[in-house]
Order: sequence, then structure tokens, then C-alpha cells
Amino acid sequence: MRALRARVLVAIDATGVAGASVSGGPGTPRIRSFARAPLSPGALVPDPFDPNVVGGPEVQRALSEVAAGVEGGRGPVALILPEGVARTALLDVPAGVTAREFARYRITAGLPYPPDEALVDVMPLDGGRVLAAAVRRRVIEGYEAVAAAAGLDIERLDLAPLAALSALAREPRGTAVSVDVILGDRALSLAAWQGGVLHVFRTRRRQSGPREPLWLGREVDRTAVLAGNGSAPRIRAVGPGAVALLRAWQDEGRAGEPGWRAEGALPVEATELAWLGAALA
Amino acid sequence: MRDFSSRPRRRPPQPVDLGLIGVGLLTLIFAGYATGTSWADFKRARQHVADVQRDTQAAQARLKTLEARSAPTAALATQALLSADAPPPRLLSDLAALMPADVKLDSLALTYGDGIGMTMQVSAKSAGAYEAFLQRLEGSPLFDEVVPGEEARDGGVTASIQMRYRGGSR
Repeated sequence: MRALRARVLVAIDATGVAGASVSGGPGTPRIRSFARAPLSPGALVPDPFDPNVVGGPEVQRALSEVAAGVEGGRGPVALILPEGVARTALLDVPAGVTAREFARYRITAGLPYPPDEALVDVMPLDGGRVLAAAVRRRVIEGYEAVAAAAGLDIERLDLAPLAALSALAREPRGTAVSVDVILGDRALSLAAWQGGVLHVFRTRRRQSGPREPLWLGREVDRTAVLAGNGSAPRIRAVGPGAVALLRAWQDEGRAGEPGWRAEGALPVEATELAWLGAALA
Repeated sequence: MRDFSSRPRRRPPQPVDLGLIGVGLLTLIFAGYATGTSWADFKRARQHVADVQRDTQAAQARLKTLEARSAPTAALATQALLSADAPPPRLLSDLAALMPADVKLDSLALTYGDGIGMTMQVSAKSAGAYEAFLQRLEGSPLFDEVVPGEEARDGGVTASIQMRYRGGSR
């Protein structure tokens, strides 16, 4: 039933706001409309502790512009928050316990802010595991306020790394280790799988520049070692800069592939849009 | 579906929600149908009770009519029976046998029912004759329940007496 109606996503990150209306099922998504509005540096700063929206009027204007450019952009929409705003943890949920409550119990203990300021949700995984994420309330409220000011009817708020991982997790995997690289404008996540089970999930700040592909390749290798036997992992990449990263790795002799493709008119490769996973899962 | 909203938001209806709504609607329709059927049954039952009450009242009325009709019939039958057992001439003969010479019978009324009731008016030339007559009545096995009534004494005695004749049962 969900696949019958178009899903409208609006994603926000440090360099801009983007939105898309997506129809079709997870296997054959089709982009019906797409819009993007850039943000000047410093207008939005992804951060897990303090409000991210610095240039409120500019962010509001960008959101409004994207909403106007996307079919059904005023809502209800899923607002996707960027990499780098959440604390994440991979948890084994005991039997008979509610995953979200268990995640709240486990993840809030290590937060550098009061537990009641944390908004916690989970992404269910195979084998009784969940990927839990906690976001500080004041961070969420900043995004909600600017979206409301832009006239968006928010259906739900999701996180770009969890949205991307939800879609990447759908593809069958072999027994070998695989690593998913989920890029954001200011941060990235690495997810290592083996035998269909997510073993490691790490988040790092990006090191933009010509040496980033090399640094990131080593981070992928470390992540793969943590998850398995050290053999060369299968790598998939999504998010801003994924195409350039894959090309650079190819030049180095490291194999990698885009996380997904989609039909329809997109000014960029679909794999450059990590938040698109919210419509593909 | 994940949601990191700071406050609960509405969510689009899921298939299970729509299914539950469908089940609810079906239940509502069934309940309405059942209520309508029950109401019709109730009205039929109430009508039936009213019919039975009306029949009962009609039957009671008929019974009263029959009873009213049967009462005089029974009285006449009793009178005929008692008249056959104790004809008035014999009753007068038994009564006259007890009357002293100074006492005469002015009037006599007979009432047929449970036995023969007698109400009579007598005149006696003296109080002694009247008292003697009462004593004879009370001592006679043919009469009982002798109750003297009003008396007028002006030298003689004029009085009424009520009693029951038992001569018919001899």
C-alpha cells in the first residue's frame, strides 16, 4: 500500500536543502520531481549538542524553495536530518523487552547531556539487533521550528544515515564482509556486515580534501577488520561525494559500487543522495 | 517507522489500522442489524403479551357473566329442592304446633338459600304467652338460630322473630 502513493522527502545538510517526490516500490523507485537549494557556509552546522540552524531565515527560505519545487512538497513530508547530529549504538535487545525502551536505557547513560533531553528511536535489524540513535531535543526542535516557519507539514523526522542503511540493508549479502559508506556533508557512517548481520556501525567527521579517499579507504579497512576476518570487503557508497570517492578508489585499485540507482530525472546520480534511502527501504 | 519528532505526530494509516477500522465498521453494522432484529422481536413479544392480556380480560368478563347467570339458577334450584323437602304447608304446620293459643302469626317470609330462613311477625295477648312461644321455638329440634327481633309491649306483645327451619332435613 505504501508503494502506491508518492513519498515526499526533504533533506537538509550543511551545503543545502534537497527534496524529492518518489513513487514506485523499493526495487524500482522513480523520482517524480526533485529540487535543491544551496545554503551558504555556516547557515546550518550539523552538531549533536547545539541547535544546528544558525542562519534561520536563509534555511527557511531554502526549505520553502524546495517545498515549492517538489510535487507535494508542502506535506506531509519526511524531514531527513543530516549525518553528525545523533549518537548511535548497535544493541542486542533481550527477549521480552521493548526495543525502543531498551535503547533509551542503554544509550542515554553515555550521553553528555541529561537523558530526558534525548529523543531515541531504533532501526530494527536481523538477529534481534537494533541500531539505536539518540538526538538532543533542542537540535530536533531547531529543525522543526524552521520547517514549520517554511510552511512544511512534517509527517516524521528521520536521520540520513539510518534512512540510507534501511535501504542498503534490504539487498541480500553473501557470507563475505561488506562495508557500507554513508556520506554526509560534514560527517559519515561506516556499517560493516558479515553473513547478513550488522556487526559494526561507526560515525566519523569527514576530512574533505584530496586525501579523503585514502583516509576513508583505511577507515573502511579498519571497519572490515572489526567485523570479520580481514579479507577485502565489498564496498558500497552513498551520499554527497560518493561518485567521486568511488572513482578515486577505482584509480587506487579499490573496488566499490554505488549504493543504489533510481529512474527519473535527477541532476545527480541517485547514489549521491543518501537520504533517498528513506523512500527505498 | 522511525520518528525523531519532539512531540507525537500523526502518522499515515497503516494496513493494520485500515483493517481494524474495517472490522469496527462490520461490527457496527452487525450490531445495528442485531439491535433492529431484537427490537422487532421485542415489539412482537409485547404485542403478544397485550393479546394475551386482552384474551384474559375477555375470558374473565365472560366468566363473570356466566357466574352472574348461574347464581339465580342455583338459587332457584335450591329453592325447588328445599320446597320439595320442606313444603310451606308442613312448615306452617310445625310452627302452628308450637304456638300457644294466645299467640297468633301476623306475617311470615321465607328465604331459600342455605336452608330455609324465616322472618315472622307475631302478636301475643300477654308477655307470658310470648315468652312461652320463644321457649318452645328454642327447644324445638325443627327450628334453630332463633333470634328475637324488635318488640312492642302495650299490654300484649308484638314482635318479630328470625330463625331457620330444619324440618326439611329430617
